[in-house]
Amino acid sequence: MATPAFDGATPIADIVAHVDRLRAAPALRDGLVDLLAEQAPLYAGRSTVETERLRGYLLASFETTGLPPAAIDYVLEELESGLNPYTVAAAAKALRGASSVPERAVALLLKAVKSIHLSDDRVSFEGCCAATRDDSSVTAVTEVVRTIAWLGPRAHAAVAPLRAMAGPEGGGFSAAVRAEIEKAIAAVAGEPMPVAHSCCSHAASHAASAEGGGPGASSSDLAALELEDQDGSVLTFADFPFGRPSVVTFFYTRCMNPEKCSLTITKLARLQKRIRDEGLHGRVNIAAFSYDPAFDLPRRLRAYGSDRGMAFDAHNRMMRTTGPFEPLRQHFELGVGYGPATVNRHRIDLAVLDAKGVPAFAIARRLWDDAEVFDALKAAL
Amino acid sequence: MTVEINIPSADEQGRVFLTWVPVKATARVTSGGAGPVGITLRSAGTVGLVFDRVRSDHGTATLHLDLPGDGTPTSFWVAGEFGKPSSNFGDAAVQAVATDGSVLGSTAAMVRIRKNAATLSAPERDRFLTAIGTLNARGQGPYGTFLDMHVSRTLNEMHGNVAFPPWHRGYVLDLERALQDIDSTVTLPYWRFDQPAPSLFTAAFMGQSTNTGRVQFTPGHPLENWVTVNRPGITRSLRFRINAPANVIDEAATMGLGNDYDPFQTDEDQGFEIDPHGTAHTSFGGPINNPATAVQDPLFFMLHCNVDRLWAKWQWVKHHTDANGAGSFAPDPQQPNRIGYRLRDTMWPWNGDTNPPRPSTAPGSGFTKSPLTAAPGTQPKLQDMFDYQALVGGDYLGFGYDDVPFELPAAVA
Amino acid sequence: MDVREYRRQYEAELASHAHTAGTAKALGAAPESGSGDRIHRLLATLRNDKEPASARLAALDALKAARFLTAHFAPYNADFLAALREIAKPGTDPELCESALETLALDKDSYAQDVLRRGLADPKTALVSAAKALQFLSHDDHAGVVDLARDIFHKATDVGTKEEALRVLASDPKSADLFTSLIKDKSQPRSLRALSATGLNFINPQRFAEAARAIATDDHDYDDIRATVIGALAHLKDATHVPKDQSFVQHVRELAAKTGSTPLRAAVGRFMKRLQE
Repeated sequence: MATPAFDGATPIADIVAHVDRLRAAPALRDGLVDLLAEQAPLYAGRSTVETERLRGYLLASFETTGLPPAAIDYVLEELESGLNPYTVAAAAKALRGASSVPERAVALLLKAVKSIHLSDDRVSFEGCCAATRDDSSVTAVTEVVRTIAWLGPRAHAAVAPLRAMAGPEGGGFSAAVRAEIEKAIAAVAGEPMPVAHSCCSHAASHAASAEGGGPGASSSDLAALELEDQDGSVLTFADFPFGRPSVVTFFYTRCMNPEKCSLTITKLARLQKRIRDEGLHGRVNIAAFSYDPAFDLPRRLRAYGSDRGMAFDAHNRMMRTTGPFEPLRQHFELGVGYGPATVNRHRIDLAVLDAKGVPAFAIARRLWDDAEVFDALKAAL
Repeated sequence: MTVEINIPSADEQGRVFLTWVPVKATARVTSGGAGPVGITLRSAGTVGLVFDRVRSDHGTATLHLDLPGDGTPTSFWVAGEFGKPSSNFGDAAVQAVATDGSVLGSTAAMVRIRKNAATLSAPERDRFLTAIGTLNARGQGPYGTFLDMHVSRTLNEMHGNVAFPPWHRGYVLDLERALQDIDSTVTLPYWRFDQPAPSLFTAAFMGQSTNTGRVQFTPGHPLENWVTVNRPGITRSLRFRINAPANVIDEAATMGLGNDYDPFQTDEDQGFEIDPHGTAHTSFGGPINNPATAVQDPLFFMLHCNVDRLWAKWQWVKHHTDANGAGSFAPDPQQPNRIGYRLRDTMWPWNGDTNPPRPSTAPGSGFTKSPLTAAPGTQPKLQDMFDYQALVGGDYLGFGYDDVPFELPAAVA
Repeated sequence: MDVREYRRQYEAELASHAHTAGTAKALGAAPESGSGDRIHRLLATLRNDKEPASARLAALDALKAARFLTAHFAPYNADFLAALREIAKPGTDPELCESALETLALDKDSYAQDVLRRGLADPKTALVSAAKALQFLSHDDHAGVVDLARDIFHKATDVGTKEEALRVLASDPKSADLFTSLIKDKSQPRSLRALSATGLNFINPQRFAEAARAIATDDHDYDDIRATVIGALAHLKDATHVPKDQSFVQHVRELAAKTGSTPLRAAVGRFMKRLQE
């Protein structure tokens, strides 16, 4: 079944009807994956809340249809850095459709419980997309715990953390959720079984393809793209000293998920410190581009970076495009969608470019740590 | 003959700031003396100071010293006279007076004390407003860092547990020091929420609420361009009559919440954190009534200054200033071993700790320093927040309240 | 003052206050066996539409106060949010409904945003005024209501609603033209000009500084708006945009001498002090 030409004006009911058709025909589940990308037209112009509701409904569908390998990274991303109980619960349900579960899923499920337990909410995936008023529906934390239970002995590593949650110092769980935790403990406490080793998904970090891309081979559009940095200095994309290995990442100052942009810039500051400590200052670049260039004027960029420990010079900049952002988005194949005034959802994107500007390492859709990026940067020297 | 008075409690401009806590100072003859010189130290200016030869809580308005003629410094202790805080720098001064009445030396000072917002003069109010408006700087100033410390992802560090009072004392002090980096004469005023404070909710001060809950200021007011979380303006509506107290228990009832920390802070139903703290917040409509959004409104810090004052008053009344004293603190009933809830733990975010269960980022870069005191250091512990006047040891934290005195414990006095 | 005498007086005052007599507001019935029972009772009162609105409002206030104890409240958070959504419906006491919607909106709740948005599009279904709906929606700068706010701004007739619409529009850089035209339009209510100044200052400080300069030097404009723009210039973090040429500075300095407006004089004073820093 071809994906209809949904856009931001498509009534929610039409989208839901399509999803329901795909749910009923699991062989067509790959059509659901196409709808998950942040830049998919069906999200254009929608609010963040509406976007998350739709994505949550899509994700939850995989419990019924089975979870295709191409969707696994979306699920893991939500468990790792999601803060909306609805979409986190949806991701947990989606995982129950997997025939092969990635090894890090257990740790991410436990992390998800911690992320949402103070803001737990009732969730229901019977229909979309108004928040439920139904007393009988379960909570988001319950859904996550049930997925841990579903894993059974494959989640044996969760025994101790679950016991801690259920214990006197666990804190913050209702009686109903505690009961689910106890059930999960019973389910996972058997003889440990390995979680599948075949990750079965495209890697979320990889040695990037050497084909095309990168400022060294950029189109004239990209090379001429005008940028402005945190000090108001204007330059083109071609001007930025890409003759050195560079970390390139993306953020925006009004990002509403502190586990994404705020943490990204904080980690960049830590990376800067390591670069200085190891005597590499001036030999590598750090460039952070705003997804929200019309709003993220220079002083705003500087304040956001300084507040998180960034230092600035010719090799360390936070920048915005003064014209369209689209050439950057296309060139780096970014996962970002826009509502009427700002970003409605984005994934984490980071690339390490070699001295020719060719991507040597890339991370998408997962949290990264400064050590792995530093190692990639050093390898590119 | 001249006498030099040296009070090592000064900002970078050399201006002396005092609280109720005695500071050790010296006086010495700098010229013209031959043999011991008898002087009297006295307070000059409209605000009183008190003196003693030792660190005490009963200094006197004058003190006789015999200064060696060779210029050797002689120590003495000086503090603000309780109940008489300054309004401006220089309204207090120490004078050294000779036996013939001539003034041999003088040092201007300010008794810098946190006051009831309802009692501030217009200049005091405006200095505070200018400082906090500057700190906000249209949403691009350091106020944003303080906001990031108190959002939904971070609340577990300091709410619903035994760290609540000391963490917020640190938070309020950190902000106050940031204000003093802008203007040394500023202290954080407290909103005494169990008393009517109509002057506070006016266009000239913290804003007058329209019938839609939008806060209006006089034209050109320092908070007129207030921005937080990328939105200009403040939203706040009063859910109590402006000439009445907020919907809280009064101070006497607060002092009666318990003789010891448990149950004063730990009672989940009627403890200090619920009422009067939580009820002060929920006396309004607007972001201030929600823990994750409360700091969007600058009134938050005046509310919490009063919360801290009440804790300080309770500590004083119940003799619970020593963190290790019986009843001054209690292990957390639910999570006694949780890092951040124990006296010996350093406090997030100032410790930069982002390992679970701490939040994944730690805004800021360590606790703001003060030129007046080394305490509490850049990574304070919970216990460093208790004895803020150094009654039993250590250095004081450099603040005081207009109605909480410096009183040494009987064992120390 | 002798501190020991002060203590004696204070302790005597405390002794003369009975604990219950000092309570300015009742929190509800005394707790039974612990926090869980109390929260459950409060939730039951909140949900019970047979209870008087005043009791339900008191329960909501008490729950909101309890919510500050985040880990203690977490087990009840889901029930609390569900209760608020139940209340936010036609037929509920208006003050209670509004308070429930505000609490949800501060949480960026999708149900609340749907309800508020529907009410703006179709006032017959509105549970709160348009001004309040816009204000509540503005708590989420990703709520995607700028187009709606722009439309409402142009159609609304009451200043309160226009004010809230402008606050929402301040999150959209495309509002700069609207703000600029409003600031310059002397026929607009003062509050709208002032909000536009704040909004433009926020999204485009350079354009704001140009507009501010024009207003500050216009001796036929109102003192209050001149005070607003000069006060804003005094707090502009980026001094690059602040007009500092001698003729402007002199003009502003003379304003203080000529005007009878205390706020304008105060704003000029702050501006001058800023220039010296």
